[in-house]
Amino acid sequence: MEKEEIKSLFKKYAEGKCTEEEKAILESWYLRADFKRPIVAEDLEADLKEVGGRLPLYRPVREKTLVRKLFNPRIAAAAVVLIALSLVLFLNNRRGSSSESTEILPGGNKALLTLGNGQKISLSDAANGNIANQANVSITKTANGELIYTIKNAGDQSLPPTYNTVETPKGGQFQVVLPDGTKVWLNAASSLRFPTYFSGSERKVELTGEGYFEVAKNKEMPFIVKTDGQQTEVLGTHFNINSYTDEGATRTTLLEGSVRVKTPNAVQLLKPGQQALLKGGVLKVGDVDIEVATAWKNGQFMFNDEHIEAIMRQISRWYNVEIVFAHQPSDSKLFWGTISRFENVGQVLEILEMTKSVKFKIEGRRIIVLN
Amino acid sequence: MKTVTSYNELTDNDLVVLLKTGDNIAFTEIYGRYHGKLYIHLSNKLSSREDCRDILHDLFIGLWQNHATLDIRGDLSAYLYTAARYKVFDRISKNQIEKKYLNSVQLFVEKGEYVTDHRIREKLLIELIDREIAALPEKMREVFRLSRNENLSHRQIAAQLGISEQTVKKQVQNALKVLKIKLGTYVFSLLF
Repeated sequence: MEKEEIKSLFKKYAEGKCTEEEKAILESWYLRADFKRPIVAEDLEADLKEVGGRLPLYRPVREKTLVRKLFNPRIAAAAVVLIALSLVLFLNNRRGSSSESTEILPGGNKALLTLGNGQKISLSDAANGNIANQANVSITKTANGELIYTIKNAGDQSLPPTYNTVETPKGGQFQVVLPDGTKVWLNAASSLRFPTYFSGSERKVELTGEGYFEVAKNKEMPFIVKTDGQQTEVLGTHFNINSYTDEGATRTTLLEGSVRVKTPNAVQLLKPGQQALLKGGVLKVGDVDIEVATAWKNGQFMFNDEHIEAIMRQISRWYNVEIVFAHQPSDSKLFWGTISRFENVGQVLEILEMTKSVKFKIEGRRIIVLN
Repeated sequence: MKTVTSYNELTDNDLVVLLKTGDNIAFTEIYGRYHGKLYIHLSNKLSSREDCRDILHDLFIGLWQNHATLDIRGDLSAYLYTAARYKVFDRISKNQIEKKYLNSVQLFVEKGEYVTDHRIREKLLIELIDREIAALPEKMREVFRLSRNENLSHRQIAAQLGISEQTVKKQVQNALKVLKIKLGTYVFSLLF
């Protein structure tokens, strides 16, 4: 079906002019369509409150409600949750607090670029615009934190490509647009090594840490990401690889397209929504919540029944802080939640403390986890 | 004397009957049961928070303003969810944001996995919305825990629609193959 035809279908549906077949198509598509935008609990609460405020809902006189509601445990429980959520909203809106904890700022667009000849350019300090020229490639830094590689004379590839590395420190993140148009978002404490232009039968890059890839389609040249103990072969797709050494495992999550994960002992083909877990040399595939795996790239921490140690590792990398546990944390305590990555660490820890399952103490750049 | 707390024990159908008489507490109870599910569902289709809020508001203001002439045949949830679906398509065409969805529809049309029976599509829509809620973290669901769930089995759907259980199973299997990719096996095994 042509795009113009589809466009008019939406209008026809809204005007009630669709045939039965057209309705079947649109409504079946509608069941499948998923354009999920990440929802933050505070936003959800705020939006529902805003809409409720504009509706003629029953609002009984204060005192009567309070007395009645106290005696209904279901409503009381819901009220407690709502109060907790409003507190979160309130706390998040506080600015300019004088406490020490708000001095630890969140990460930002920081990275170090190492060229083939060994020259190092700090991407955080470099001005926007053209920052380097190598062979026939110009490297530009944009205002919104992107590094773009442009091949000046596409035809002239007589000189072999040189290799560049972009490294993010703890507390840094950066986005790179590779010579073939592939976009890579690098999380904190990560690095990407790649050639200044791709030639031959494959496009190969090396990753440490975590990166989210939107690979440009090229059926003739598969895109390969090499991480410790694994190679991920990609044919034009969106996926995330988490390969931090201190996580003890490599997690490759596929959002769209198709990906082949290879280790010395195994090969697995991934479908969207699946994740390959490489741990101790063993490769397993399972279904996951892709939102959780890529929340970082959308500016959020998202924990879905996560252990406190794993949560603190993420916080350590993004805020560049040291974590110390006063006691060995219990295995049964699992945390859920979504918090913006761009809050100061104090606010993030406050939200975690609201679960009443954990308490923190901040000493300079060290966070102590108490129970 | 009416007590606020007793309304949450009424069925949806009872609430609709009361709503039609202009009962504001019934309206509020209905809002409480469905506003969360609808908002989450709308967020999965539309990227603008403003659009989601507007549609949520329009759905309920319409329910209240037209309470006297409401003609809800069957389940209240089906009525609300199909009204929401209509408003989503309406907004997509009014805001002229079809562009965002064209690729997705085109891909879908190529695969051709349609559910041809509209009654089944309606049931699937209800199940989908319930699953979207089930897939949320526990605490977020508690925010609108006043909602009720009616998890219909294939047999119950078949009985309600007067068709064979086999037909329901086949239609559901075909269409849900694609939903499975998005929602994950875990949630699936919980409900089937």
